[in-house]
Amino acid sequence: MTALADLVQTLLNGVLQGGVYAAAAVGLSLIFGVSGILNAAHGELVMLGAFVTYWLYTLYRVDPLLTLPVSFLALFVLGYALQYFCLHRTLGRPLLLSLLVTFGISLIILNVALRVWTADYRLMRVPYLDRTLLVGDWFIIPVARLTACGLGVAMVAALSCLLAYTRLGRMIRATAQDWEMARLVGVNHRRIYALTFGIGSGISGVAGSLLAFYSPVEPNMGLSYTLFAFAVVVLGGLGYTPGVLWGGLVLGVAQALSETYLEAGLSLFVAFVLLYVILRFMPAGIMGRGRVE
Amino acid sequence: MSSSVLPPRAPLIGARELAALGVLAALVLLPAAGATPYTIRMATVIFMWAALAGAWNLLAGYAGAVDLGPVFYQGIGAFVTAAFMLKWKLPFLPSVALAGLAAMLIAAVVGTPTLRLRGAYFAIGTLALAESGKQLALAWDRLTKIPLTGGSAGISLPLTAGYLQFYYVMLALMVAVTVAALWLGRSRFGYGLRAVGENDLLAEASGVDIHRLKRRVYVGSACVTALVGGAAGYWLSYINAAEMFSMSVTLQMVVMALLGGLGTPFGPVLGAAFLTLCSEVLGTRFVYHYLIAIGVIIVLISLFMPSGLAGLLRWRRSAEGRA
Repeated sequence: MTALADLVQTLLNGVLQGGVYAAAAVGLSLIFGVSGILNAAHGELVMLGAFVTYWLYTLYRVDPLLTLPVSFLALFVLGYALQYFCLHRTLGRPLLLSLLVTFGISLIILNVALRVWTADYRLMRVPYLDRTLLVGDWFIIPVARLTACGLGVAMVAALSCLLAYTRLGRMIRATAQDWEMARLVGVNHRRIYALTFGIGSGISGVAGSLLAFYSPVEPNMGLSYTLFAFAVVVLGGLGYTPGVLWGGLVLGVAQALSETYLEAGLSLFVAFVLLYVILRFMPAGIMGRGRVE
Repeated sequence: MSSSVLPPRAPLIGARELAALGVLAALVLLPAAGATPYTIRMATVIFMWAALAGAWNLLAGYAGAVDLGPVFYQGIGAFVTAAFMLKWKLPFLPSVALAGLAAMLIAAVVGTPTLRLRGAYFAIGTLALAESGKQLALAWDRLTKIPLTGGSAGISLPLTAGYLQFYYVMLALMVAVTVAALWLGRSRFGYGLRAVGENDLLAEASGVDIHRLKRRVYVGSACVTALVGGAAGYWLSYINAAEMFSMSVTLQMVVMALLGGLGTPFGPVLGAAFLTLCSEVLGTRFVYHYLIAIGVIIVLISLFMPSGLAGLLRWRRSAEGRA
């Protein structure tokens, strides 16, 4: 019975982590799907969002849930400006160029953050998020993780609705399909690309804020979230936005299983082997709905 | 592809190559001319990075495949060399040669399947390969009970006093990579490869076996990277998996190749020299400032040097052929 309980608890942990992974990856997927930019600074945006929440709570005692809109706005503005003034020049150029520019940006953000905030690990202690729920006598659900997962999944759903049902969403999708055609029918493609990058970046910031609910915040955390986001997006299918939910789920559960049954040090290894295998044999993702080049 | 569509062959030794030969002769004689150990050490570091960036350049600059995981082979080279030296007590040169062979084998079996991926997929796939390699190397000793990488603690290699041997090994590797790039610039093989870089579907349709070409370059560049890794590990005399497989090594290779000029034979050498000297002057005193400055330089060069980068990103066959 305890073996079964362990398994269920492990799966539960994986699912909760998976929801946050999905939220942390959906911005990367959106930006790549629309403008073809593979954003190497993605994890740094997540890190900045985490710091927004951490500092607002630590310095001004702002409720962490109320910091989410601030985090979104701050990162939205940063993302909009980056795309509008900087990345727009890479449009229609080889992939390497946008990869390099975003890598340069990630170096700048990371090292400014290291200089300003040092490489210390910081953890928020929020009383009402520190509690745990007990289901039956066996399963433990930390409130912080549950909240983060729920909000993360809700955010992915909200983004999908925005893309599917609103005028802005239609404009974004039209630009993604063919920006020259979209331009002919009156869509300002430069603005749409900037809005897309802003939204993707804002969501990544909120995902960082959600992570700050339960995990330590530090400038170097960015790189691992860039890598996780790549993994999640490839698992779900590159360019297919709702796929991140599946990708996040698979990555979260695979990592939780390997931590419980193999070894903690191997959870990253499992994640990357999974990524490699999917990319090699199922390039359209586990749902088979991603874009294949 | 008939030879009549190819541009006229450039003479094998042009003015640029003569100048390079002159510099090479000076570099070979440099230690005998009484250079200080500090100068020799700096030059060795530059050669090392030039060889790494040059090896990356062979695939990215000529075949247009952006590999984000070459550090995988540096790590393999370092740890396999260490294993031969420590366990079988082989001398350095045979050990590092065997490490190069091991890397070629691993590249052929594990790495080349990633070449089927295109564009962003190849970049992410190779990144995943390198990161899983790092995690496996970190966990290797605990998992297999065969001591090889020393886990996160790393391993020490026997100390050596002969810093000159590293100077010549790294110099030879840099020269080998540069000669390979020069050869790619004017051989039939190289033309096929650049056709792949410009438009792989078109190249395949015109009868170029694109996978065979890319596989050979990938395996060759893995070999050079592993040789550099093996030599660097012995030179440092202490290696650990987190550093030998670190993604920052890959990034530095990429940046150097780009700064100097992607797809040009001497570009990586220039980029390596420039960045190594910069970091020597600035890096030790202002670590964060230095990295911020590097970030700014990368962004500015990528965005505002279209002529520089265009020559780097798009192969100019005519300009290069007549140079």
